Amino acid sequence: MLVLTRKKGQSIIVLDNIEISVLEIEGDTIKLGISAPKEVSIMRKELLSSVKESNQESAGQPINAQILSDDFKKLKKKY
Amino acid sequence: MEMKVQTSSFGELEVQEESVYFFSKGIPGFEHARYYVSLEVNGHEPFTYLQSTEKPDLVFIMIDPFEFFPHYEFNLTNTIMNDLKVEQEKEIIVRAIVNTRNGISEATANLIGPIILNSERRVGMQVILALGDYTTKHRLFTPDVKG
Repeated sequence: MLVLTRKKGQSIIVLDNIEISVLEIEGDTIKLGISAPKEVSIMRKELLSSVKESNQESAGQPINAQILSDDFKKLKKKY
Repeated sequence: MEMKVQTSSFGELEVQEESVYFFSKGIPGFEHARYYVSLEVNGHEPFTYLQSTEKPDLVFIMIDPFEFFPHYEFNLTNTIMNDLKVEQEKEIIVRAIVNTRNGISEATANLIGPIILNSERRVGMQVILALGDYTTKHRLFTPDVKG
């Protein structure tokens, strides 16, 4: 892992056209500004982690179709 | 061309090769599995399945999210539309993965990561909605269930 020290207002460049700047520092919170081409996907890591976790929990559930659809008939839709 | 697909839940299936969806990035958590078929089974409505053609035990239960959550909405960026080779909107099929781990009455749908399929070009991906208030767990049914 590359470790760099930056101050408020400074930035780093990734792949020539992605700029990540430190906008604000307050306590242990840092506000970052990211300028990147719109095809570059950017998201908070915990979002991707939560989707991964949810997928892993949802995959390979025992599928007993009859139970699924029988139970379904007993339930009403939420909306 | 027909091909045989081994599945843990449905036994051996014969599917049309051209009906297989290609997920170029896999699905988060299962990046190694990139080919899926979408299965509808009589009597299993409203559930459908996304079955890996490579891993017999890899299957997701899905619903049509708009059927359960009529106000569900999101924007697909041009980049995603390009990745999915979408030419017309009617090619797009939207599904949500359902988690029935705690029983069906507690079933939840992942609305922050919809599965988007292009029914024409047979490509798919799980899109993660970075904006909006959706989560990975929206209950399908009201808690006050009557038998």
